Formats: sequence, structure tokens, C-alpha cells
Amino acid sequence: MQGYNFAYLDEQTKRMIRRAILKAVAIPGHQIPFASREMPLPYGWGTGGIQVTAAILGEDDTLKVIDQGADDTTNAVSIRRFFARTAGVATTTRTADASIIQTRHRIPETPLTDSQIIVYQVPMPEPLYKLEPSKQAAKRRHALAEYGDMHVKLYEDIVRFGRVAVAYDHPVMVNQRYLMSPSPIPAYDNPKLHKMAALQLFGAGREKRIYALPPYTEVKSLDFENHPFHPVRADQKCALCGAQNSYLDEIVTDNSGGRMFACSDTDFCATNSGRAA
Amino acid sequence: MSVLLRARHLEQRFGRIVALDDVSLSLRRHEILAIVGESGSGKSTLLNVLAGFQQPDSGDVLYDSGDGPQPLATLGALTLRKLQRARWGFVHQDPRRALRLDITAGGNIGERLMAAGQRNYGQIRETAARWLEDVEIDPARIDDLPKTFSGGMLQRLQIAATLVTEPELVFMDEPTGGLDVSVQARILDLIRGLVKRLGLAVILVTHDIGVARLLADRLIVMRHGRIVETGLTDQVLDDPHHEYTQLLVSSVLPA
Amino acid sequence: MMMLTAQALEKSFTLHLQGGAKLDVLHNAAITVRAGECVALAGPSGTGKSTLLRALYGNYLVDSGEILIRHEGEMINLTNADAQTIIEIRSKTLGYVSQFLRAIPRISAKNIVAAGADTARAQQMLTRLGIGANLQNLAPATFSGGEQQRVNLARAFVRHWPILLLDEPTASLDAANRDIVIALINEAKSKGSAIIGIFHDSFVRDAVADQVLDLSKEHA
Repeated sequence: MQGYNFAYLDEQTKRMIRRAILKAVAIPGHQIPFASREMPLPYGWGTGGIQVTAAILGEDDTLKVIDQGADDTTNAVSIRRFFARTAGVATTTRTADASIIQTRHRIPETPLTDSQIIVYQVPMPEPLYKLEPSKQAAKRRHALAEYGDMHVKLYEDIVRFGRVAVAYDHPVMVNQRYLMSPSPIPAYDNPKLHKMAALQLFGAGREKRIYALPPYTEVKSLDFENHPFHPVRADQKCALCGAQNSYLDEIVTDNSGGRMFACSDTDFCATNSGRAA
Repeated sequence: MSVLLRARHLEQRFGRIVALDDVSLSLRRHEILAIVGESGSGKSTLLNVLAGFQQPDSGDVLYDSGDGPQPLATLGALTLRKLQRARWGFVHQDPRRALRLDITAGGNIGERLMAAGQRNYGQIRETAARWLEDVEIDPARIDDLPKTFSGGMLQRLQIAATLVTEPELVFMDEPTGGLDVSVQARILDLIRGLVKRLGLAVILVTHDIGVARLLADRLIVMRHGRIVETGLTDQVLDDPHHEYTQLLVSSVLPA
Repeated sequence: MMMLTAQALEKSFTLHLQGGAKLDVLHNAAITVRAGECVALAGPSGTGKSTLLRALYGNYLVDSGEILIRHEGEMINLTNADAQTIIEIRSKTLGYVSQFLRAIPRISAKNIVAAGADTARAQQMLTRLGIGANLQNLAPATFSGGEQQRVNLARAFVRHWPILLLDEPTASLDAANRDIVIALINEAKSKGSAIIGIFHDSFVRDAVADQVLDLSKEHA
């Protein structure tokens, strides 16, 4: 596309973001501030993820973009097309064929390899923000590893609901040191973060933070000894491909309460059906 | 009994106000020390400096946890915070400042435990229930929010939430200030019993001589940032030497 | 065996609130008491009996002089001992019965006395002093002066004190209870306690004291 640098951002900006990424990888789970740029879409639409992808994208990369697991929603389509135009890179919907996967709110069902990078879009990078509204105080807590609060919240959940009630964005401890928000992925996806072979990068554009999990990092969801973390999915089979271990979307089919459950990961579903067929 | 905490020649000024003027003291294990003085005497400043919340202009505070005395200033923020969270305790005059009113009573007591690494939900609840009993709150209220508690109950909850990690040193800032007299008596009695049972070392700031007499082994009288008299509690109160101490003692209204 | 000996005690009070008026109370006071012996302090009021007793307990600070106390085999000088030491001496060696019970609210008479011994002996001692079972479980705040004093005495006599200081122990008691206290004092003496007491009642003094120290004579 004329008038734009490769992948939209200028090279100096990419350098700045890569430096932030290096720092983030060096301190897993720790939030690194970066100078988030004006992007051609508003805050809250994935500007952080896009900037991270733009900074690491190369000519030989193959890009996959998903939104809530689907390649064909408006946002996923727009962002994929954006990079196709500004970088001319190959794009794909197949997880196994992608070298970079940008995602909003899900981790693909297909296990990733050590030659892949997954970039998460993050609305609120600070796991403590509900308990500690002051940014300065939150920073101090991370520095002093004062996370007792977070466990108190889980304790209160168990008291009130009999179990930990965090359905998504369940906070995790990284490397036994930093408390991290995994972004609003369903709690069901949390176990995939642990010792993943791929590099995981997290970008928050509005909040101007980048953080990372280098491959094979220890990631543990917060829980109690006798109330262990328990990933939850609907107790159903996918209506399209029959899978019993993928995260399901509940789809309303008519106005009289009819509904069906289907894999949220569209590529996984298609591949699964293909095999079954 | 070894010295747990020692302050040497503390000085602190806020503009022209002298908050601490060459203050030195020491506290041994299991000892209860009361700092008595009127408002403006510097006693609250002294407590904050001793507890590591403030740095003095000059002088130092040394803490000996068993490996020899170390200046608080050299401990580093992380170590100091760890100390303050588990091995030390601080009971504030206003329990609403120290407690989380939107967290259940059990959660408040459990907070220090969880911060110290306790991860067993069942044990946390058991410990919290036991402590509620110890401070004479009905353990059935473990899941109640403190919003529903009276002032005296809140203070007792704060005491439980502070002592739950069985600290070796507890700082108390007017622990019964602002409470009704009958409620005060109950809380003082509770504090006395718990301190004895746990063998705590306590530094207690109060303007109430009766509280000092009831709880403290030793007494320091402060005025305008200086220590004017110090000694055994009953000796200082029954045989006051300094003019100001005599004034304080004689000002107490007889019951 | 000598348990306590004090020499050359000087004590005056400077009343800053009365323009610095100085009250000389003790001058060159001295006292010695042996195990199993009772010394009575005598003299009209104002001669410093109570002051001397309190000084021997460390409750008053003397201006000069020394007070030596046999504590766990060693002679310790109370006048320059640190707070820790005095507290220890008071918990193990040196007992003091004041004229009035300083009651801690909410603690029952039984538990006040049981602080020094076990509950059973506490109950026995209280019963002996005429504080019956129904009163034993109550906090003494509402007791009469005499009843409170008997709780005070029970607390002291329920255990053995190597040295015991008594300030007017029978002041608010009737004749019957007075006799019980006399018996308690003599029993303590026979167990080796060294006792120093102020007894306004000469009957009591004659019944327990081996020596009388008249402070008015000393003062002159």
C-alpha cells in the first residue's frame, strides 16, 4: 500500500516496541510501559495487539487473526486485511499454518509450537485494578510481591458462591513471582498458558503496557489447596464437529429458547469436522 | 531477655515543629512499653518511626530478630514490608482504617495469613473462626461484613486480624481511643490476656494513664518531642519526679 | 538467713505543682529482715512507713541509699536494678499487699487469686478468708472494702513469697478475719518468709512481729 511503511508503523516505533518486548520477555509477567501510538482504530479495539504484531511481523510470516476464537468476525477480518494491505504478508485461518497469531479473548485449541508467536489483545493489563485503583500503589505491590489481596478476593468468592467465580481473566502467578492478567480469556484456557512452547506477547494499547511469557514459563492460576483451580466449560458436545474437549460458544437459534453449542475456535471445528467427515 | 528494638537519638522536625528531640529507647522481648503524652507530644510520630512507616531526620532504629541488631533503614523496602506484614503488627486507633469493610470478617482475619502464603482455604477459615472466639466475637459472624459491626467489635476484629500471624512485636496507637468506657474495659482486658498468652512485645501509645497502668511494664512520658521521664509504670505513676509527669498524674479525674 | 537489707535511705518529694515544695520523708532509714522473721514498721502517720515499704518494693524511687534483696541466691541492689530485673524480682521473690485491691474489671475473684497458683488452692484460700463460692466467680468491683481486701490478701498468701511486704493488711477487717490473717502471717513465717509490715492494730503487731522498727525515732 502506498505511503505506508511495512506493517504501518515506522521503524523507530517498531524498535521502541521491540525494546519493550525484550524487557517484557526478560521479566516474565511484569508489565512494561511503552509509548502507544495513534492507530487507525479506536482504543478498545485491539490497538495494543496490533502494535505488537506490527513490530514483530516480517515478510516471510503467515498471520492468523481471531476474535473470540473465530476468524470470520468483523474485527478479525478487518485486522487481517489491515496487515495484508500494509505488509503484504500471507494470511491464513489455519492455526497450524500460522507463524504469528493475534487473538482477542481466546487461545486456539490446537497446541502451538516453538516456531509460533501468539499476540494477545489486552484491555486491562493490571490484575489488581479492581482491588487497588491507584496505579502507584499497584506498582508498589508488584514490586513488593504483595498479592494477599487477590487471594482474599478468591476467598470471598468461595464464601459467597462456594467456588471461585472468576469466569474469565482469572489471574495467574508467573514464575512464582509476578501476578499477571492473562487477558479476558475464559478460565478454561488458563492451563494452556503454562509451559506453552510458543512465545506469548500481550499488548494493551489504551493502558500502554506490554508484557510477555517466554516459552516454557511456569504459569499457575491462583487457587487454594483444597479449592483447586478448575477450568470450566459447558458440559456439551460441539453440534458441528462433536468435540468434547473444546471451549464452546452457546448460540441462540430461535426465539423460543432453542440453542446449540459449537466450538468457539472455528479453525479447530472445521479441521475436526473435516477429519470426522 | 534480649533487646528486640532500639531507637537511638531520634530527631524529627516538621518545619518549626519539633516532633522528636533526641529520643532513645529500647524494648525487650515480651516487654510492654507505654508511651504517654498529650496531643502534640510526638508520641504518634515516634510510633510511626519505630514501626518503619517514617524515616527520622536523624538517629536510627535497630531491630534484632535473632541475628543481631540491624538498622531498619538498611533493611530494604521488601524486607521491611515482609516484617510489617507478619512478624510485626500495628493496631490503629480507628479500626475502619485498618480493616476492609467490604470484605467479610473471616476475609479480614485471613488476609494477613494469605499474604504470608497460607493457601489452604479450610485452615484459613478454622484459624479465623478461632480468633473470632478469642476476641469474643460470635464465630457464626465469620461471613458477615464489618459494616454490620459496632465500634468495639470492629476494634476487636482488628486485633484478631493483626495478631493472627502471632507477631513478636505489636505497635498500638490508642487502641481504645474513641470507644465507650465500658467497651474500653473489655478491649483492654482482651489485649492484656492475648499479650500475656502470646508473649508479645508491645509498644503502646496512649494519652490515658489508666490504660498504661493496666497494660504496661514500663512507661515513657513525652512532652514536646522529648522524653521527660521513664521507668517502671507503677513507679512513674505513683512517684512522679518530673513536673510534667506530676501534672499528668494529678489531672486524672478520680472514678 | 538475711533476705533484705536497706541502708542509708533518703527520700524526699518535690511537689512541682505546689511551687516546688519539698517534703523530706525518709532520712538515713535502714532495715534488715531475715527469713522466718517479721519486722513491723511503727510510728505516727507522716513518719514514712508507707513510703519505706513502697521504696522497698521499687514503687518509690529513693534519692540515695541501697536496698539489697536476696533473689534466687544472689543479692541484688534494687536501687540500681533495671526494670526487667525488678519485674522478675516482683514475680518470684518480692510480694506486696497494698491497702486497697486494684481490681481489673471482669476478672473473677477466683481468677485473680489463681494467677499465683492453681484454681483449687485459690478457692481454698478465698474460702478460708470468708469469700464463699458464690462470690468467688464474681469480679470484685462490686465487693465491699473488706471483701476486696480479703481478695487482695488471698492473692498474696495463696503462694509462698520469700519476702512479703504488707501495708495495713487488717485495716478493713473484723476481728474474725483479722485472726485468720494473723494465722496466715505466722504460717508464712514458719515456711521461711521474711515479712515487713505496717500494722496499725497493736494486737496484730504483737501477734506477728519479731521486731519493731519505730520510724519516728529514726527520723529524729
